[in-house]
Amino acid sequence: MNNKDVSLAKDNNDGKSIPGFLWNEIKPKGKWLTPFNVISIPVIFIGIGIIIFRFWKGLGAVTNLSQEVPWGLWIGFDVVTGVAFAGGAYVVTFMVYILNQQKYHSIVRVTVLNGFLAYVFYAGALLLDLGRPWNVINPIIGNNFGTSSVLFLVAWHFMLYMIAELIEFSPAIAEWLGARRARKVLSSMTIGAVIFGITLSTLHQSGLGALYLMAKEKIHPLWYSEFIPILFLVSSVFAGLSMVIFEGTISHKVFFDQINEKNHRAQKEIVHGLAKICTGAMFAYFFLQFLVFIHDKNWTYLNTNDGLLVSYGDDWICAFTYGAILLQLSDQ
Amino acid sequence: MSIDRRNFIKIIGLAGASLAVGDSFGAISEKEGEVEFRGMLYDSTQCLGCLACEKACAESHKLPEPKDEPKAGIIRKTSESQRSAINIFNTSKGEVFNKTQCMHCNEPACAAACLTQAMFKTKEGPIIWRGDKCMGCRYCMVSCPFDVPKFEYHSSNPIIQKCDMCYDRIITGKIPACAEACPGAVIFGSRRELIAEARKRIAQKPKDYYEVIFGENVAGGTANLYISSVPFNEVGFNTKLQNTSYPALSKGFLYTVPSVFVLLPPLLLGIHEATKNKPSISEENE
Repeated sequence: MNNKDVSLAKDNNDGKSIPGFLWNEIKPKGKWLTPFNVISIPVIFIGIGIIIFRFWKGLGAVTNLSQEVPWGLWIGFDVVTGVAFAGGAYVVTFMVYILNQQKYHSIVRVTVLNGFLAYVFYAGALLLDLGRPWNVINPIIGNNFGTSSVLFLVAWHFMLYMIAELIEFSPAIAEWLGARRARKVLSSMTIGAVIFGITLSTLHQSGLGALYLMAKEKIHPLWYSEFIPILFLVSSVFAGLSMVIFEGTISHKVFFDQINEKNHRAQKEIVHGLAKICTGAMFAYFFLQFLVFIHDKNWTYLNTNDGLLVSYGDDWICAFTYGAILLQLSDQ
Repeated sequence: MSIDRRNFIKIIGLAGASLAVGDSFGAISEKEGEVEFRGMLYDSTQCLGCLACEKACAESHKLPEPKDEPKAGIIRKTSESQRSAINIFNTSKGEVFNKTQCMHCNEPACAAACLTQAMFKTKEGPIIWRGDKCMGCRYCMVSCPFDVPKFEYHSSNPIIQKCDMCYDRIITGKIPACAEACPGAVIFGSRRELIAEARKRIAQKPKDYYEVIFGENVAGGTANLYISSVPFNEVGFNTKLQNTSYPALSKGFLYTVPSVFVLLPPLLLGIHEATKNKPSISEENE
């Protein structure tokens, strides 16, 4: 498949200008009014409209944020939880390049690309939520380093990790452009980028949890714990791998006809392997939550608020049952 | 103060020490600060509820004058157009006034949270907000245990609104607008003097005062201090706040970052090298 890509790129490159080459690559190669596009095109246009309205009238015009709730679903779910879901890239690169588990080598590239794109979109989503986005460059340049801030650390690691992921993926870009020497140089940087990327991920995945350490008064004691950074890190392992399984399963369905029996089997093996790792991580999470529960004597809060207890219990039950289900699946 | 430093540097210079040493000494003496933290003491037993402080505050910062009157049972909050607010509370000792605005913590969570140093603890004590640095992430609002910073949600160029203890007035030698307008309940001074004054008042009239100075210890100590006739949970304060500073909560995490950064990469590289010796397996899978 790679060879085909390279030869294609060369054909396109011959005697054509760069815009011509790009157009050739971008232009639709089949029917473009697919069901997926029919749904997503209006979504994109409505989204652009809302974005314009947001910058014109302020955040209050398009959100329900208040002085008491300065971070809503956009940050809490879209960015903080989303980044955990994008954690698959660092886990898979760890398995392939650090532990040399060659079984997963075939999914490295797509996982890293996925992670990179996810981070690009989260950065965009974050920009929309910033009240004064024109100052976003301040923590990166100049003498405005708020080094005592966990958010400063997260911002820097976020940015550096995007670069690391780009380097990890760059050999594919070099192949696409047919630049062999560049590919060789970029490939040699992979292991460095992987080590750097895993370190950055460890710190910013846990850092996202550490953001809430100072908000002690605003988080229910059942959720608040000094172990929240570690809980975030562990949950990013199974959240990230779950996303890899989810997206991989969709790709497998879409391209079902285009791969042979051997690859079907390989895909199944990979999914089972990933599910097993998820299981382990989920039991680790479950165990950690249990430790925190006992350690902080949290049982005193159990009969305080039913709604909250349900969602808190959910956390545990999910970790436990999904873990058990995945274990069952992977045994088959 | 500056004369002392100049003399000090001169002596160092005469002694033949290098310029660099002189410079660093100068910098240190400035950091340690001969300026004492300023603060305000609010004595609720002296407050008449005349709202002169609110009006002076609004006028001084070009904000709309608050039109509503304080009433027991209703809590008037500070907002994106109001930096300080007076409230009446029904307490065990009848109706008692209370004034809310930024507490100007000694170790502010908002400034520790700010990744651009837009929220900034000045050496005079006030915490100021600097619009040219702020990117509007609102992490200061998430972190502040007193819910002080307010954000303009309905503006395309939003600002964070909060009391800055009239920093512009303080550095020109004037006192904050509310303290100037108040007939006697708000006193401006150095934090040390204000604590001494508060202790004196409590000691002289122990029957009139609750024995605690709110702000002496809460959240690691604040520049704005309160004395009142009743316990402070009766006048709208959260008395369950911790007495240690809030930035200390994330200190442990921040201190582990350099060690992770130093220790994890060699460990990963080690594992990578250790597992590398099995090229045959990868070829089999292919």
